[in-house]
Amino acid sequence: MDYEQLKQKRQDEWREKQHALAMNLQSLRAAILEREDVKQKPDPKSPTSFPNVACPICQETVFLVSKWVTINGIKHKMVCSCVHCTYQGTYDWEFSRWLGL
Amino acid sequence: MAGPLKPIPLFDLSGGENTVASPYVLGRNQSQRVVNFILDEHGSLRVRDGMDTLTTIGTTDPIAKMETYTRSNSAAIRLAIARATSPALNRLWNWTANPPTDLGALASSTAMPDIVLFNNEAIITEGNTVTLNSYDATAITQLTGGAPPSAHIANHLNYLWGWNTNPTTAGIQGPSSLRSSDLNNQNSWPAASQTFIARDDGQQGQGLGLFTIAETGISPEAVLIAFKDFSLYQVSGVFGATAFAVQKVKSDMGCVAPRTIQFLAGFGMMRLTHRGFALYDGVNDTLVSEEIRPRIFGRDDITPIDWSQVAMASATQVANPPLYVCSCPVTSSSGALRRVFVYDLVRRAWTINEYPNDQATLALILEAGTLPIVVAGGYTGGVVYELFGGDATDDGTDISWLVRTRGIIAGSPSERMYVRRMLAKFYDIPEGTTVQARFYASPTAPITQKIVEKTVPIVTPIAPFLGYGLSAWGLSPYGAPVTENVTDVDLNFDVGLKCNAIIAELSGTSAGGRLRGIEFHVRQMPLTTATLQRN
Repeated sequence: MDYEQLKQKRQDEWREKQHALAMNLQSLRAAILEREDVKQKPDPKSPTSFPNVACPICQETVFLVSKWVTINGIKHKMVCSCVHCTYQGTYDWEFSRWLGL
Repeated sequence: MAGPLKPIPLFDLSGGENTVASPYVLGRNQSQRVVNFILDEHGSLRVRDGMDTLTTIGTTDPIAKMETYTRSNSAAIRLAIARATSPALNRLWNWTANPPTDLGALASSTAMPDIVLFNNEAIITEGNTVTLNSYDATAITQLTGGAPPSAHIANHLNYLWGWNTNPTTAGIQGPSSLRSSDLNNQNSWPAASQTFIARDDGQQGQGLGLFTIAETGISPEAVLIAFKDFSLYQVSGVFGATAFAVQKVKSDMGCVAPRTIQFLAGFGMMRLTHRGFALYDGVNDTLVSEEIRPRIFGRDDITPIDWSQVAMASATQVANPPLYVCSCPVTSSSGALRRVFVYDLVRRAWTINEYPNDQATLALILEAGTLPIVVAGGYTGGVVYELFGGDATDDGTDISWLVRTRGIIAGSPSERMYVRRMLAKFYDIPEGTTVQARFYASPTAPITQKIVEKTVPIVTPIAPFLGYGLSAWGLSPYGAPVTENVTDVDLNFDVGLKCNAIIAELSGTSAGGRLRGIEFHVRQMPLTTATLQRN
């Protein structure tokens, strides 16, 4: 195979790999969108109750969530403020703790 | 009765170096050693381009990092970081200026600084214990807003990412911590934009790379590849995005030298791992350096690279021809980068380059309106060199090269043959170049090797003549003169050995040149149990 043929072969191989990677990412994203934590992303304008998360100041469990971070469709962190005492912080779902305290 | 001589040609040398296989089962286009050549597109071996001094910055420290910093509506600034010895601090230099300008001290003497362009500034990292700094063409300032120390940084989807943010895990920092800034804001680092990737698995973050995907019908996008020592992860999206994902890639290789990570458009992402050089193409992660494994790990007469300093290795890429180039320290070099691995991405073959001056970093300078330049930061003397720039010599000194062929046999490696001669075809090699051929015969007793030297003859150029020359009507009323001085020569090396197999090692010193092929003239001898050579 001469150099030009080899170059063409590499381009064809690269196109196949790019296509496979793009399809993998597409199916991954489609699967993530079906996850419960993604579908139930809190509305930033409406208070959301999290019975297992207590405000570190007033112990209430209702928050306004301004940022909802998921990884692979699983809840990871949330930036929220307590509707009762206006405490603002970041809650880490992975370790079940408030950050920065 | 002796039969006729038959030719054994080797005119396709495009397979590069293979130091692993038996000399008798090497690929037909491979050689045992290929030093200071690159693979010519036409199947020849072309003497590598020279190492040419571009400038000298006012330091004797190693130049540990180089990057082009281009601000909006401004000319590019070529930055360099000179690596100091503690307690002195690394210094940032502008080597576009003439003379180069010292821009000031950085925050540490870390061995592996890095520079990433983000939001119109050059962001500088000096490891996972030093807060990030930035340079805005005016001053060096520390980032604020909770910017973490980060061993590795990347500009991905308009967020600044930091990886490996502390030597130990504490809070949201740690060797497996991945963080990002806010959008277009390097001075805002929310705690929510953080995750651990395989936290406390005994590995640490070992680099970030950007992998671009451009599929027909889909907008081009990039994924971030996060490397650890023995694993790699694909990060798609950004913190807070609905489909943000971190996926482990199917591989047992990570990265041991963060500055060897290179995304090679059209081929994949390459880096140095604990098993050698590996190429991740978005789907598979493949080891591509098996043919030259002794050059990495050592064997027989080949010294390995220095694994105690392997993190210092540095890589870049060449656009034309498409090459991955990686310089590594060797056992005797005290951390200086000396052994340069050159991988031809189209041919998937290796050659080895050796330069007269040790390096501390390699870089590709990309500036709008100019061709890319491959540069090396010197290990001593503060020198910036150009590589692969078309120079025929190393700052005026001819380049020493060497090629050792595969084993040449008539029938099998145990059958007798008579080797009459070897012809070596060179092109564009300077007249007067002396080429030495060492012939290693098998079995090795009683003659270990035979050495023959030949000199490229002086070519008599065609005398200039008046008449119609290259152009239809000539450049002058009587035409343009024509001279011919490019040498195409077959050097004849008389061998005259009886042996079972023979290997030839050609070496020389020249300003350029191509080895287009080798041909042996041999005669197979009757099958016999005799193994000693008789002359």
